[in-house]
Amino acid sequence: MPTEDNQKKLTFNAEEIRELIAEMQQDSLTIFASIISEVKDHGNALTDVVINELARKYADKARMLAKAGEEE
Amino acid sequence: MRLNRLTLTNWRSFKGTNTIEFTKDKQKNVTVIVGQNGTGKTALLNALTWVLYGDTTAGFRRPNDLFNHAALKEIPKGKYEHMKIILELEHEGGDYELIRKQEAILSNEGNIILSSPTFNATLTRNGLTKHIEQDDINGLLPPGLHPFFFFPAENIGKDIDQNDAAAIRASMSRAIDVLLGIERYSNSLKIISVALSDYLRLPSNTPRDSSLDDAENDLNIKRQKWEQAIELKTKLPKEIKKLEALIEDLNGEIERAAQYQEALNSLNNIKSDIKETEISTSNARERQIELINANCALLFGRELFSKASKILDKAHRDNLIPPRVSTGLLEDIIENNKCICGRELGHNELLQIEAVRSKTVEDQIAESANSLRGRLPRLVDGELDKICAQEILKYSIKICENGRKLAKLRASQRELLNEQPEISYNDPNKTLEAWKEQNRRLQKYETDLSEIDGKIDKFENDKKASERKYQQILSKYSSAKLVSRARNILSEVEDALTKIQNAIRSSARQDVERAMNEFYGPLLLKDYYINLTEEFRHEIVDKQTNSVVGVSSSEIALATFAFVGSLAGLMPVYSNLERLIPTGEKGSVGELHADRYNAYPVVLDAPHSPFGPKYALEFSKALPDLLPQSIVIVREDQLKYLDILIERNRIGSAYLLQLNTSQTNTSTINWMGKQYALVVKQDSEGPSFTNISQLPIG
Repeated sequence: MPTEDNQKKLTFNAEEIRELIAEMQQDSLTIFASIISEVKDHGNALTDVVINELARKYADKARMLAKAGEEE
Repeated sequence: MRLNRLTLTNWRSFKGTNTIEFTKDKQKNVTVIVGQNGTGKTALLNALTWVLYGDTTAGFRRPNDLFNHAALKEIPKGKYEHMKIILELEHEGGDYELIRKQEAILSNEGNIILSSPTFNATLTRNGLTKHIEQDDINGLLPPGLHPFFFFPAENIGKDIDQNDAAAIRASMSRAIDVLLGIERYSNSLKIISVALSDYLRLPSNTPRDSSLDDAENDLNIKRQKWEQAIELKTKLPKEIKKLEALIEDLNGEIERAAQYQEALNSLNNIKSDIKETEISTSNARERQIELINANCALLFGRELFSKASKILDKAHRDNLIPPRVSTGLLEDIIENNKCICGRELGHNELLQIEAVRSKTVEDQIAESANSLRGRLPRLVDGELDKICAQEILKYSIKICENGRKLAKLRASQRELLNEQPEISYNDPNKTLEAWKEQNRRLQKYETDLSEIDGKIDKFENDKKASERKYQQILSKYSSAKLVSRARNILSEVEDALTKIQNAIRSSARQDVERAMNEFYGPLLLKDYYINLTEEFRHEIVDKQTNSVVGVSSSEIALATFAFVGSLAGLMPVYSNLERLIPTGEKGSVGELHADRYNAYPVVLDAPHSPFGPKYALEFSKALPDLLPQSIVIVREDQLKYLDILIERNRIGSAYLLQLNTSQTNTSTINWMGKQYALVVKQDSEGPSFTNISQLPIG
């Protein structure tokens, strides 16, 4: 049977990814989490039309976040 | 994940309700299902894919004809019957029940009407039951991976070079992307790229100076270069994969051509002999005709020519033979519509000349007649030439001999082609040329790919520098400050996505490679290991020489199984990664471990088919220690490979697919010392069907 030792040999160190995420500014992190989750909801085969729609949406969202940052 | 129970009702060949309990015993962790061809082994595998996704595996015959025929025949008029599959499984402390169902009604007019299939699934955890959707199932076990968890090994077939195997290899690279969720990152990157290129620019009505235009153009160029490099980096490995499959096919062709080389040489010799004989016959005929023409009086008698000579002389004297006219000159005059002095000809003049030209047909007669008049006296007065006659006869004999030789050669050619028809269309030279050409293309693609790998970081840095410069210039315009800041936010996301994608692929390459080797090592009888390239292509390397080796079809098939095992082992880990990374919550990712101990179950249809007896036995020996739960569906003639599992007490449950038919058949299997009938005779004449009987274990 597979043993605990076998498990240890197969280690995926996600620390690097965690750091990359942690380094992002809050506004970028908001966009990052939202876009990843939205793409997942759409499924993997995205058409050009959907990509274009989402591009417009995230450009507006980034503009909105930039404006909110300016007002602060 | 563990599969607990599969209940089939009227599914394909299975009439009524049949249940299979999968073993959950950690020691006796193999479930065996035995059936002869045509009893529904592959249908059983497809019952799993259908209940999970409403889909069947590639190559499953009649995928739209799923309802059992015998059950459909027995529906009374106006009544319903259903076809249903229930799968019960447990995963991370939750009990899942999945039901996919289709109904059939026999109308009063006698027509069978089938409803659309319906899907219903529940998850029970901590005593609470809730309905779940298809998307939840897809998250549990992505549809892109099901060909590996429900693996139709028979498709690999006896020859690993065949199309099905090539398709399996091509989908391995795609499966890794599905496993890692790579497409999610690349799609997100596409969206951000379009947002930056098309929707976050200085409004077009804003007055702008050349520095902004220059920065914008420069950014466009740099971004395009980077995107093209990324696209090529994704595309080239797929092209390389295709080329490798093609080259493998050509290798096989070359090998086959070498086997036929002797026969091919004989064929080419025969062809060359035929050509030579045909030329010899043709030359003999020509020479014979020349001799006959020159000596025709010898053959046809002098009297005939003497008479002809007299007739022609008389015709000449009576002016019956027309005078000779020069046709070439007349043709020129008519064509140019001019006299030889250069004067334009009138219509009537032209008609007259054309009329004169019509005599040129007669002119030909005159020529022939004159020539004959000249030759006839010679023919009449010629001496009988015995040597010449002998020579003509010699050519006749030669032509006859050649005729007999040709008949023999053609018979040999037919015989050779009947024995080895392959040689009629297999030209080794052309195959070799094609092989060389594809290898040249492969080398070029590999060079391109390595060049791109070397340049991609530079392109990315150039793009980033241009983006910064563009943002600086933009921020000088008061109306564009907002755009500049918005671009900054999206650029940061783009940067992070690129790095995350690279980090996942790079770490995962090591994990998949290590996992594949953990599965490959115990199966293999040689000192080889699997090397997974940066592009997720696997090659088999000899540990001693550290060089890539050509391996047998069994060893390649084992590598495919190793991949199946590595997916099963990595799936629990990456499903966690899937949940944790996208949230972006700081500190929530942590360290993840691949988990072979909790590997997903794998259902293998005819797993021994791709191997020779030695490897088939090794495979059986190693399987229970490689996967915590495996289900093997085998033909009755492959049962011998399971003896080792019986001996070592590793089988937790076993079933026999029994065919119910009106035909008499007494075939049986021997299971743990007892005989069990593969076929049960039914009294009625209705369609045959299968039922599932439990076999004893231990």
